[in-house]
Amino acid sequence: MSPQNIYLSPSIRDWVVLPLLLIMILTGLLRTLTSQLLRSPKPLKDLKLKTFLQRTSRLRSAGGFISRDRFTRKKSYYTQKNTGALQKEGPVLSSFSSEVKPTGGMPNPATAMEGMMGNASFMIQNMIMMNAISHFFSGYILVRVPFQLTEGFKPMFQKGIDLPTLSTSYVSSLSWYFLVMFGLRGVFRLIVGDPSPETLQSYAIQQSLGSGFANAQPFKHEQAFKSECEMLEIAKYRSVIEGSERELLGDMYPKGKRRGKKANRKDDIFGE
Amino acid sequence: MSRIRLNYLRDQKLRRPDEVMSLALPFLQSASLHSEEDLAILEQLCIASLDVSNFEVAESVVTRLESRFEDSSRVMRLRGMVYEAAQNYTAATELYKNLLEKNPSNVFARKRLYAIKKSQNDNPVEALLSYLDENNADVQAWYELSDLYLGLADWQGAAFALEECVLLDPLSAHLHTLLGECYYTLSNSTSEAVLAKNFTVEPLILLARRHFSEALNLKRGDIRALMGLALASKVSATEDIPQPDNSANVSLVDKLKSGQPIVDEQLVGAKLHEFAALELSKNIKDGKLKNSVDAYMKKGAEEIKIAMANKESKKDV
Repeated sequence: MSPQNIYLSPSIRDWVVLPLLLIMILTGLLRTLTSQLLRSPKPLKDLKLKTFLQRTSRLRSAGGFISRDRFTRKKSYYTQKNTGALQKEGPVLSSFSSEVKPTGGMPNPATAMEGMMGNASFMIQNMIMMNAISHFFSGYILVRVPFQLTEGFKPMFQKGIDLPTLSTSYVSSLSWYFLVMFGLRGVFRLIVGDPSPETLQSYAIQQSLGSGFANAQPFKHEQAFKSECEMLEIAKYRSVIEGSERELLGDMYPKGKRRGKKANRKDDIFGE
Repeated sequence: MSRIRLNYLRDQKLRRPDEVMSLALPFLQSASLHSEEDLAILEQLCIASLDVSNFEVAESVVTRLESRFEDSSRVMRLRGMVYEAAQNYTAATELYKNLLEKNPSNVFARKRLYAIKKSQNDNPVEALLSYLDENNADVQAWYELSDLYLGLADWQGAAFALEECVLLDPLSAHLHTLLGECYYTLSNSTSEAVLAKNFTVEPLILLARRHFSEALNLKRGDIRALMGLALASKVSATEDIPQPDNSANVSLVDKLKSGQPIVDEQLVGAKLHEFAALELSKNIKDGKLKNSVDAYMKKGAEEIKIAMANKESKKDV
């Protein structure tokens, strides 16, 4: 492709490129600020149930650090038929479920909305911006990138311009919008700044004061309890504690009499 | 400069009330109520002044904060702590209960309510249990529970609380040592022995030995764990270990299946005692203490020797 030299008017720079950049930065700031406002704190209702499940899963993962018999006792406390804390008829669960409102199969529409709010505002804003830009600034090129690009970039760089002979390094307005939109993330971080240590700390304190952000999905405790119960039932005791003395003593550990099958078989074959 | 130091203290969660008082006091009037850092400094100053019982400073900080934040739970918690420091427990309790009503999962208010019950000695165990019911992932709280049980000489309760601690933080040598001590004490007392049947069927002295060993695996040369190991191994080497009944037999079968060799626990006890003696004399720096510990361990080793010889002769008969 022959090098082209198209003169771009300085008023395009002054009245289109720079204002576009400014508009985008301002709307981006607006978006981050509104999303911060929309993020409403909500107390966690399911906290009790969830931490209970954490407790049982701890038994599965770290159970080897307590003795075998204590492990089985704890396990049967959770999984025993009818009386186990994880069983459906168990006293613990019934006391739990009286506090937790049954949500049924339907997710709570309010919580589902909350997750969508952020995305929706983002989408609406984008659609409006794109329409406005293609309406006001279409039909001409805005900038020229200082390097040559292959033909493949044409649809990406020259959206809205149908000139097969135009060099790919010229960028149309809509494409400029996209390029800036994806490239501005770093700039925003510079402007908004990383949260200060105080803000992070106050998040942590807020969490401990009990205003954690609720998950969009409601917590289905019955299912979770059932699966946890099954997992705990098949969990095997893998002792760490019983091997601790052997590990500590190393070579000093007394050698025991091996009474495994292997020794016997050896005897059978070799007759020793 | 002082800002940086205060920030560091906050960040690392260090509790140095004297230092904070001297550094943060100049900020009492000058701190802006609109800068997050200054607010954090005021909070820090308030807690530090309560620590050193300087109630005027605490009061003025809280009043300043209240002038801007009327309804903040973070300021209310400071107000509650000021009440507590002045031993105005009824006002503090009411305030925390209000906080809980507003937000039932307010962990801080629940903790403070427990602290009030404890300082009034008003059935603190129950209060702590109700806290743990909701926040069972709190190691510190379980640790506190074990401490309460120890105060009541309820060794089983303490062992249970420490087991939960170990499950939460299995790589803490200190927790393993404490659990070992609980088991050791349980195995030692005859009145507890009957009750212990409901607690576990495995011989408690072996559990104690294992937990001390695990503590030493995690932290080599820990004197407290070594001393515990010395005591527990001596008992296990000199006394007959009660034969574990049915459900522990299952573990024996498991051991056979896995092909692990069956060892004489008494012999292991003797070896562990030997190991503890070696390590103790290596790790104790104080000469006088070292001599007496060495002498004690030597005496123990002789007792073990006699016990082993007795056992051998019994076997021969």
